[in-house]
Amino acid sequence: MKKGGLLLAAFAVAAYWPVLDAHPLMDDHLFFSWLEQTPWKTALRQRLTGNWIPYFTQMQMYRPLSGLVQVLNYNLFGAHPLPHHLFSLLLHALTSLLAGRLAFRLSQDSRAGWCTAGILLLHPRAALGVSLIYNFYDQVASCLMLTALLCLWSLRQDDKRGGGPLRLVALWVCTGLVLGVKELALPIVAVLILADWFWQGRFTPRGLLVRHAVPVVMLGAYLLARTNAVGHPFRTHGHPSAFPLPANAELWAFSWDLLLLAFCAAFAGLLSRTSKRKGASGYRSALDGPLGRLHVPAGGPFLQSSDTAPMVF
Amino acid sequence: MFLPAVHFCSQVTLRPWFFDERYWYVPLVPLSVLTGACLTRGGWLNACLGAAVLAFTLPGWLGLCVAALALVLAGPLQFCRLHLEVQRMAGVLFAASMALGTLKQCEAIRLRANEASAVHQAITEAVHGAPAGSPMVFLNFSEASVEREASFNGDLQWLLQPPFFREDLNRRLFFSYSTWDFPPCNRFRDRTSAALISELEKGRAVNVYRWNVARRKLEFLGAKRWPQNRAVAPLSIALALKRSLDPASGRNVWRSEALAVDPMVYRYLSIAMIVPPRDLSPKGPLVLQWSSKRSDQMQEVRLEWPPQSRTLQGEAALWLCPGLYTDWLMAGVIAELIVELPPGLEVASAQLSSAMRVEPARSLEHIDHYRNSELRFEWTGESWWDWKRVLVGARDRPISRVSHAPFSESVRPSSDRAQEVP
Repeated sequence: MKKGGLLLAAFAVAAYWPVLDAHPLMDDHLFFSWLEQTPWKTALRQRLTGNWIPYFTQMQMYRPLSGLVQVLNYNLFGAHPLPHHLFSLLLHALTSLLAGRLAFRLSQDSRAGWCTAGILLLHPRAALGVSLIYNFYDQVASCLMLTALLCLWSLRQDDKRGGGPLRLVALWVCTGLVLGVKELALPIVAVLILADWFWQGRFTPRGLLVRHAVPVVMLGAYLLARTNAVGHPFRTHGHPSAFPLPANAELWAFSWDLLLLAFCAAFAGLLSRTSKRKGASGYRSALDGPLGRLHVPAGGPFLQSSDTAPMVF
Repeated sequence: MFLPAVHFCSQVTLRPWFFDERYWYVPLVPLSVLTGACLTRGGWLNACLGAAVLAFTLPGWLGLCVAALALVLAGPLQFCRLHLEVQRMAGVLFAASMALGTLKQCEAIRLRANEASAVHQAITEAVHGAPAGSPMVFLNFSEASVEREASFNGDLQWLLQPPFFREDLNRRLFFSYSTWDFPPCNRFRDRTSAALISELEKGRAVNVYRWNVARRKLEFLGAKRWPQNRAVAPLSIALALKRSLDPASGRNVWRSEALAVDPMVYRYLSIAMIVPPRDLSPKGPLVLQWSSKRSDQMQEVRLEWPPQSRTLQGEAALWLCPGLYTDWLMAGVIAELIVELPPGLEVASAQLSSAMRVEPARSLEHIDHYRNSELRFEWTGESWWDWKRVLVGARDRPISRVSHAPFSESVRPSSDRAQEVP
């Protein structure tokens, strides 16, 4: 296990070696310049109450947690690129570790965990996201979302042992924090409820309320804060002179998201129906059917009742 | 699992630049979980799904090779039933191939970073060599010649500030460059020329540099000062344009050579065109090129043909303001001018002027040109059109002589007016 981890880490360091002390790129210049010229107290206040890109209000983004991390990092590291790049790489490694752990939990197969961690850690398409200094929020958001999913998984295990308040708080904290990282994390609240729904045997209104009421309230609080800070809870292109969008773009985006929700609901409904027909123990056999063969590993193991997970995959 | 991927699709629809690879990160997380679980679970369908995700997400030939290898291993070879040592060896080879792909991507990113670093270094050297606080002009310093790897992507102005430099250089440096701008306008190339003219009118000396593309250095050309005894010439110069049709490329080019035009005086170009009797929907760009001894290579302004679909015939008149661009203004002496029109159009006459007349300017249609006209994204220039005007006798005008048209009052480009807004 240790050898495998070290080997993956060595591969990652070797692959990312060329960019570890690379000059900032693209938007990094803007943020470096703004952070250099803004006193840290003012910067903190702006990060909590203002737009993500300080000089560029055409795009309205509200990311208070990312902003706090950004100000903290700049005051710690200054304008030297090396520590910023190392920070991003460490976050990427942590994300890969958590993704591997989630894959292991879902599939009960340590090889799936290793394979997932390796794929994400060494994926060439992730290189640009990791190499841009002020793109760190993607890694932070991924870490927090994965931790929330793992907490939810652990809570299911703790149901049998009589609860897990720490994990519940961790679930709430991670969900609350990730909402302040990047707008793409907003659907995580719906994802958690859907994931909970997959666990048919323990899906009760009380359990649902306990686990998800706080995240829903925090989502509302975020949207309220975002409206106060940038003017609109959802729209990111409010200014008429912002990047003009393609024709019917918002309608298309809404359609895609609607398709996503319909797919998730249909998938959950199908699993629920199958489970009722075959009983709780019948998940495995049900998932080995056509649907399971297409995409069992991700959804199916959510339904498994036993967990023999070691700490590492 | 599919949530971020589908949401990603929606964002792509909303913003086409979401295909930028940095936005792949979050969708990659669930896709990696899905792929890892599929490849290790066994079964043909799982193997196919895992391999398909790899083929789709990994770049180029590497993606296809790794996906094919994964398909063979997880499918016919039944990876989960192989001996543990064989599984480990396959895993190490798989990780090594992925690491090589990532290394290649990181080297490409490093090239971009080095490009940004080289620009920073070149400007630092130029600034250290110039008198403190003096205005500096960079010729041939455009997005196309400086950042081929898109290392700034519209953010160059932030490089010119602390912490990269001790002072904010944006007010000292003048060049034609696309940069993101503030609301209410997304305008770029006209950002500096008005301020530069203001500096020159104050009688300040401007240090002129030329960007050497091959050496990636700024070469000092000398200090330029606006002559104090200059007078605004109320003259226009009629240009002798020779047609140079290249049948292979289909380019409709009109060339005027052996010129000696002072670009600081002659900032406007008017072209009378003969329009064919058919629809004038976009068929090509309108390109203006010029060369001078000072600028090492041809400078170019490329304007998209007006997006409005028009059905016209006869003649039309067009006004351009090349004086908007720093590379025209500081070129020294314009030696050659090339006008390229969409195929089918002919130039009846052309003339350089020091100003636009007020009366025609008010009756002309003003059109903004964008690099992406459909999205109205990235403003590249502006033009004034007289669609209905019939230029009687335009083709009979004498060429290569100075005509004394009554250009008494100047009409500034709307971009200059826009800059007055605080």
